[in-house]
Amino acid sequence: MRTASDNCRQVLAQGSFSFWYEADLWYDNTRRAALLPIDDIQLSEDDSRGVKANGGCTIVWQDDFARSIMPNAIGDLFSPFGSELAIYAVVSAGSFQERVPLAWMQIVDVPAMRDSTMFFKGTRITTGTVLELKLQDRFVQIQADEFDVPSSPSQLASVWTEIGALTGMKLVRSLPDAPITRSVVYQNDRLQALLDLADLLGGVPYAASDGTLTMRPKAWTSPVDTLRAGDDGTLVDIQKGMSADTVYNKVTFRGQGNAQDQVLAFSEITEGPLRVRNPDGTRSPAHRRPTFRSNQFVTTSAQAKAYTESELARVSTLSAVKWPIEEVWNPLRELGDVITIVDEQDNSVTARVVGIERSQKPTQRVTVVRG
Amino acid sequence: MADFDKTVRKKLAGLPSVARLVGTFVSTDGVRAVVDVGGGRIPADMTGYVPEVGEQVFALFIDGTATVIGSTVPKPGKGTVASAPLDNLVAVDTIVGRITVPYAAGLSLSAGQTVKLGAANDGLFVYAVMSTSPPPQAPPSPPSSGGKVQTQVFMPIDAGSYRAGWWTNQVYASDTNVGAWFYGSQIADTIPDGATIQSIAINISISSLSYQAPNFGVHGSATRPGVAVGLSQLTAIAIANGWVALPIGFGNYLKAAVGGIGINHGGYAILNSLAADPASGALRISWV
Repeated sequence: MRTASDNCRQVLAQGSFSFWYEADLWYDNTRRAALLPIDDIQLSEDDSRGVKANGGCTIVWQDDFARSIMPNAIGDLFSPFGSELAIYAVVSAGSFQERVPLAWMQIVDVPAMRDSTMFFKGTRITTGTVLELKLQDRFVQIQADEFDVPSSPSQLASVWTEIGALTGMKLVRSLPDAPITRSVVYQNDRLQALLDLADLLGGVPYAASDGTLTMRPKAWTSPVDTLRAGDDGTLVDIQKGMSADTVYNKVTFRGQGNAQDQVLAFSEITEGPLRVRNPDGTRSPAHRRPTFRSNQFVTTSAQAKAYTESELARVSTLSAVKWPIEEVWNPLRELGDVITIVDEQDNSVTARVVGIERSQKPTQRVTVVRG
Repeated sequence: MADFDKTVRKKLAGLPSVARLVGTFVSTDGVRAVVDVGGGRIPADMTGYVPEVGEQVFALFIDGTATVIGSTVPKPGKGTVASAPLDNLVAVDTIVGRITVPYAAGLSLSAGQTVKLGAANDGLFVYAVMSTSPPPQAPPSPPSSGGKVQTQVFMPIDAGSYRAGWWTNQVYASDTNVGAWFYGSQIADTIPDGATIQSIAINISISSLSYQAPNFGVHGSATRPGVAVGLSQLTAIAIANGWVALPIGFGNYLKAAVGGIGINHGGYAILNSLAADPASGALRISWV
C-alpha cells in the first residue's frame, strides 16, 4: 500500500469520491511543465516483468502563446529521450483533496502527435496540440543500458551501495543491507545484475512512484488491506481458477562455491498432496515436478539449502494461479501488497497482488495470486 | 506470417542448450572420464587434461554431450621451493599460494630454488630445477572511470505546518508556525556518507509571500512526527518560485542522517502543499 493520510483512506474505502490524473513533465532534473491534464490513460503494472510498469496517455495542450509543443528533435519537450512524466492521481471528495504519486514514467515513444491550427491576423497559429505518449517506468533505462564493458562488483561490503553504483538511481533502502558473497562477472543485462543482487537481500527491486529504486520482500508480509465483497465492500468481481502450471514440489540447486567446488542442494515435499513420492516409495499422485535454480552468489551448501527451502516454499503453493479481480479504483494499491479477500460467503483467502491495470474507469483490475 | 513463424521456430529449435557445471572427477571408463555432476554420475568426453581423482572439474554440457574442460582452479607451472623436502614432499610457493607436492626422484632441492611444476596431467609434481626465472611483468592496473558528479531530485513525501498541532498541509514561514517537508529516508539512503556535496537547491512554489525572507533549517524526521520538528542551521534565504540554493551544510546534514527541510519565522510566507504542487519542496542535490 502506498502511504496516504487517514482521511484519504476513509474516502477511498467508502467508495464515494471523484478522481483524475495529472502529470508533471521532468527533463534533466528540472520540471518543465506542471500539472498537465492527461487523458486516455492506461497504466499497467505486472510483477513478472523486469520493467514493472508501462502504459500510455494522451496530453492535450493549449499553449498560452499559441505555439506548438510537438517534439521535432531530440531534447525537445516530450521527446522520448529522457523526458519523464510524474503521474499523480488526485482524489477529491467535497472539500477534501489529496494527491497520490502514482508512477514516475519515462516517455519511450510518441506514436502520434498532431496540431490544430487556425488563421489569426494573417498568420497560422496553433490552437492545440494532441500528443499520444507511450510510457515505461525508470527501469527501462537500466534495461537499455547493457554493460558495455565486462563488469564485476566495485566493492563487496554492501549490496545497496552496489545497486546505487550500478543503476545511478536514488534509493530507499527498504530491506536490511548485506555484504556481497562473491565477486562475479555481471551478465550483459544490467537489469539482470540488479535482480541477482536483490536476490541476496531476498527482495524484488522496483521503481517506486516517486522515481526511487526500492525493494519489497519476496517473502509474504502480513496482510495490509482487506477487500470485501458485498454492499459495504470495494470488491466488485473475482474470477477464481486453479492450475498445475508452474507449481513444483522439488527445487534443485546446482552452483559453484568460493573454492570453485560444486555446491549442490535440493529440497522436496515429502508430505501432503504434493508429496514427490509415497512414504513406501511408490509413485505419488502429483509425482515429481522439479524446478532448477542456479545463483552465482550462493557459495556454500548451507546457503544453497536455505535458498532451495525458501524457493520451495514459494513454488509449491497455488501462487502460480492468478485470479483477476475487479475492485473500486484505489491509487494506494501496489504490486506486492498482501491482502485478505473476503467473498460474499465470508470465506477469506490471503492473496498477493501481482498485477494492476488502471484507467479512467471507476474500477481497476487487480491480479492476485493465492497464498 | 505462417512462414515467418515457422522460420523462427526452426531457428529456436536449432539453438543448442548450453550449461557449465562443476563436477568431481571419479575415474575413467577407459576412453572417457567419469564425473559426478549435479548429484549424478555420468560419462563425459575428455580434452587433453587428465584430472586427479577427486579433483573439481568443469563439465560443459552442449545438448546431449558432456565434456570435461579442465580444472576449476589454476594450476601453476612454476614455483619457489619454500623449504627442504620432507617425507618425499616439498613445499613450493606459487601464484596460488603454498602447495606441498612430490618431486622427481634424484632432485636435490633446497629453499629458494625455482622449480618447474608439471600441471597438465594427474596432479602437480616438481620435475626440474630451473636455471632462472624472469621476473613477471607487473599486471596492468584495471581501467577506472574516476569519480563522477551525480545529481538527483528528491521528491517530498509529505509537508505541513505545526502550530500546536499539524494543522495544514501548506508550509508556513511565520513567527507562530514551523513548516516542514519530509522526504523519508531516500536522501541518506542514496548519498554516500563520504560524498562531497556540490550544490543543494529547493524548489519553491509560493502561495503567498510578504515581508522578510524565511529562515530555512534542517530537521531530523523522515515522516511527520507527533510534535513540531526542531530546526538547526537556521539561515535566512530570499525565495522566489523555482530552484533556490541552500547552504551546503544542509546537504552534509541530510547525506549523513535521515531528515528534511523546514522553515520558521520570516515572511509571512505560505508555500504550496503537495496537493497543490507535488514539486513544492523538491530537493536537487549534486554530489561527487
